[in-house]
Parts: sequence; structure tokens; C-alpha cells
Amino acid sequence: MIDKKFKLSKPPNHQIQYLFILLCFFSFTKIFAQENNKKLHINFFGHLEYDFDKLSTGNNSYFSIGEQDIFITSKINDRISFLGENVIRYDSKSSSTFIPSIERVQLKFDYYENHSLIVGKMHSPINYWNDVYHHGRLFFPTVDRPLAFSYLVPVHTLGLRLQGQNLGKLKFGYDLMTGNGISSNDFTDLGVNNSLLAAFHVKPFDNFRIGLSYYYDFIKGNYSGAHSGHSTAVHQAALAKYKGNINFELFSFSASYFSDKFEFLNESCVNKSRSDTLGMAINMSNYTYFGYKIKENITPFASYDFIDISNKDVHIGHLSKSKIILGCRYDINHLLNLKFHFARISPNHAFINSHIHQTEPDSYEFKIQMAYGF
Amino acid sequence: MGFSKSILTLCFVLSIFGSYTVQGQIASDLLVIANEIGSTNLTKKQVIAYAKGEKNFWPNSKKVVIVLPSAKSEIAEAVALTVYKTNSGGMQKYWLSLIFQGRADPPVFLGNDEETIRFIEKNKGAIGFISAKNKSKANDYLIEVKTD
Repeated sequence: MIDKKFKLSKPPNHQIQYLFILLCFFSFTKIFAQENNKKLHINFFGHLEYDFDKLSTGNNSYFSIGEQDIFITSKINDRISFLGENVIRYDSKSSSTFIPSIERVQLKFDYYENHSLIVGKMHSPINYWNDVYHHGRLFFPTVDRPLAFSYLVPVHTLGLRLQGQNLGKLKFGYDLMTGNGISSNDFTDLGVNNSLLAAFHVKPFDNFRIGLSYYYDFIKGNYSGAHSGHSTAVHQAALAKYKGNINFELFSFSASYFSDKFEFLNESCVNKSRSDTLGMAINMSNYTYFGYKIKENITPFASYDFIDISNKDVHIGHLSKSKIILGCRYDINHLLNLKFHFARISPNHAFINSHIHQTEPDSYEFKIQMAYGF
Repeated sequence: MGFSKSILTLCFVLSIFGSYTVQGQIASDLLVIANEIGSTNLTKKQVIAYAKGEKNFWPNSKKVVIVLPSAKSEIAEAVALTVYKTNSGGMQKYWLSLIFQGRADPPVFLGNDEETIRFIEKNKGAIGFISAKNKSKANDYLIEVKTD
């Protein structure tokens, strides 16, 4: 009898509780989805990778778990919809080496025909890659993102956006945006200056899109928060000596053509970054991709990518890098693909004389990636 | 003079073909059906634009709700080829990508013509495709499709 009481008073099994909560959640979402005419949609995207790197310091061979992306959309009514994207990704500072990250939370109000007002955290519509792919490696034509994505492009903005799309015969689109900029995070901002972005594109014929954008931000205290390029914060830590403000301007251009046979993408950035000490730094990047389908589901591809950050730049830091890539994509079906590439990474531009003298040898990498989404 | 007459006759014949319409039919084996979209006829170009998510609302301000055949439907390949110029997997990936970009609301994927007709009956602003053999089951919702 005492034993029975003792058993009853034992602490509850947390694993069973979590399982129960998860079951309730999925049951609820299922019922909710059915009752609301399938208005709630949950998707999952992710990738697994194998890398072999030949570096000047030695060789590395390893498998890795890529970003795991839980993507939710819901129609609240005919004019208002919700989009949420949470990613679990690698973070060396975390004890488990993986952390959850809120990548997008946005409420969209379609106020008139193809014109919308969006509020929340979103991918800054700068260039094609960040606007169309961002975390969606299932949709990437290649294994990796362009280099500019890591350094120059402020990938997220939390704020307000006016959007129009497919307007007129040219299918004109615009995105006007203001929000927390490079020095901010998803909760607060250091200053009172919000970032400004104006992006425009046209789609004059099927599968072709051409666009340009202008982004401005006043970076208070030369601080990189949650919305800068993915690697900028790392570089910033090494350049902590300059604590003044920066006027950051980014001009971008992209042209893309993805047909059932031929694929092409070019995107360029020119960045003007002005500091109190070294004055104006002009940085640039260019990414070019070609793919050609030899079969319905097999696409060999080649790309050339370079980034050149001036030695006057105190935000990103002096950098010159180019990457020549040859690879192939095999679409197993529309929910799963396999890609591999060989890349040569040089500390200089491969085709033109850079102002930087090469100080280290080229490195090479071989990657295999499986990307999925359902 | 004779040459001008021939040209005029040719123009007349072409204009007849140019305005050729078939009720509901977008391809030889496919019909378009819709519920309260503010019109009973559309051009093929318009049907494709709406089915590709390029318009949020109909002229009567009703929200566009796109109904597409799921992979198991017998008309999936025909719709994918006619509207999206790809196969049914390509059609699904087109939508997965558009939804991921946050640029469109997800369409409703249904397994057969009966489900499509039932859904369109219940939802104003919905547009979808059925097989030509089921024309009699959806007479009230057929859209006249004009060639462009």
C-alpha cells in the first residue's frame, strides 16, 4: 500500500509529458487545418552535407547537419495571412552546438489587388538569392550561397514593408521597406535611425526576372546585430577598434533566367561605407551562375563568385576572395535533390589584378549536399 | 485588287479563329470551372496567370482560391503541362517555392474531379480544372475559355 502511494507521488516522466504535448499540438493543428479548409500549412526544409576541404593548414573531412527549417503559413482571413519560419542551426557558442532561430515572422495584409502591407521580420528583398531562396536549399541551384550573402547583404529586416507584384504587362514589382537595420536585433535597436530599402523588379517574359535595389543604414557604433550578412559579425569582432558610426549604402542588381533547359543568374553589389577615420570605402561583389539540364532531372552547373572589400572598410574588414565552382544537381523528385561541387577558393580575383597581393595559397573544397523539403 | 481581297479573306478567317471559344475547355481534355469570379469567360492567358498565383483578387474583389490536382489525380500531368509547362512534380515545386518566398497563398490540392467540383461549389472565388469527361457534373461552374 505504501509502495503504491510512493509510486503515485513519483515525479512525472517529462519525456511522456513532452510527447503528450506534441501529440496534442499536432492533433490540434490537424483539426484546425481541417476545420479551416486547410488554411494552416506546415512545411519542413533541411539539408545534410559532406565536406572535404584542402586548406593550407591541412585537410578536413566531415559530415554536417545543415539548417533544419520549420515553415508555417496560415490564412487568417481573405486579406490577412501569416508566415513564420524557425530554423534550428549550428552555433559554435551554444553548449549543444545547435540553436533555434526565428528567421521570419510576418503578417501580410493584401489591401488592394496585388498591393500588400507586411509587418514583421522578413528577408530583405535585396538581390534574387536573398529574396527567393535564403534558407531553402531545396530551391538552391547550387550547394552554397553567393559570398556577398555572408558579408555585404543585410539578410533580414524587422519592420514595415509595402509590396506590389505582377503589375502591368511587365509584371512590375516593388518592395519599399523600413525597419531595424544592421546594428539592431529582433528586440531593440541602438539608435533612432531605421534602415531604408527600395527594391524593384520586372518579369517581362516567363522565367526571366531583372531587379535592382538600394539600401541605406546608419550603423551606430559600428555594431553588427542580428540583421547583417551572416559572417559580418564574426569579422566585426576582429575590428572592434573602430567604435564610430558608419553610413552604409548598398546598390544591387540581379538578372535571372530559369527555364526548363537553361539556367542563369547574375547578381552584383556595390557598397559605399563611410567612416569618420578612413573615409569612404567602396566594396563590390559579383556572382554568376550557369546551369544546363542534360536530362529533365540532371543539371551540371558552373559559377564564378568574387567579393572585394576595400582596405578602407572598417565594418566588414579588408577582404578579397573569389570562388570558381563546377558541380551538378540531381533532382530525385520535387522534394529531394542531391548536389555536389568542386570549388577553388582564391584570396584574389581570378581574372583581374586586385589591389591585394596574394598572401596565402588557394584552397579547394568538395561538397555533397542532400536538400529536402515537404 | 485580287491580292487585296485574298488578304482580307485571310484576315477574316484568322479573326474567326482568333475569337474561337469553347465552354470550359483550356486544352482538349481539360475544363476550367470557377465559382463567382465576376465573369463567365476568361482568355487562356488569364487562366494561366490566375493559376500561377499572379493575381490576388478577381475583378469582383473575391479572393482568388486556386484548386489544383494532387499527384494522384488523373489530370495532374495535363494541368501541369498546360498551365505550368512542366510535370506534376514541377508544378508542386513551383508552388512550394512561391509559398516559401512569401509571395502567394498556398493552393488547395485535391485528388479527383469530384473533390474539385465539391470544393468549388462551396468556395466563392475558387477556380480549378476537371477532366472534359466530367463536364455534365459541373455545368453551373464552367468558364468559357477564349484563345488569346
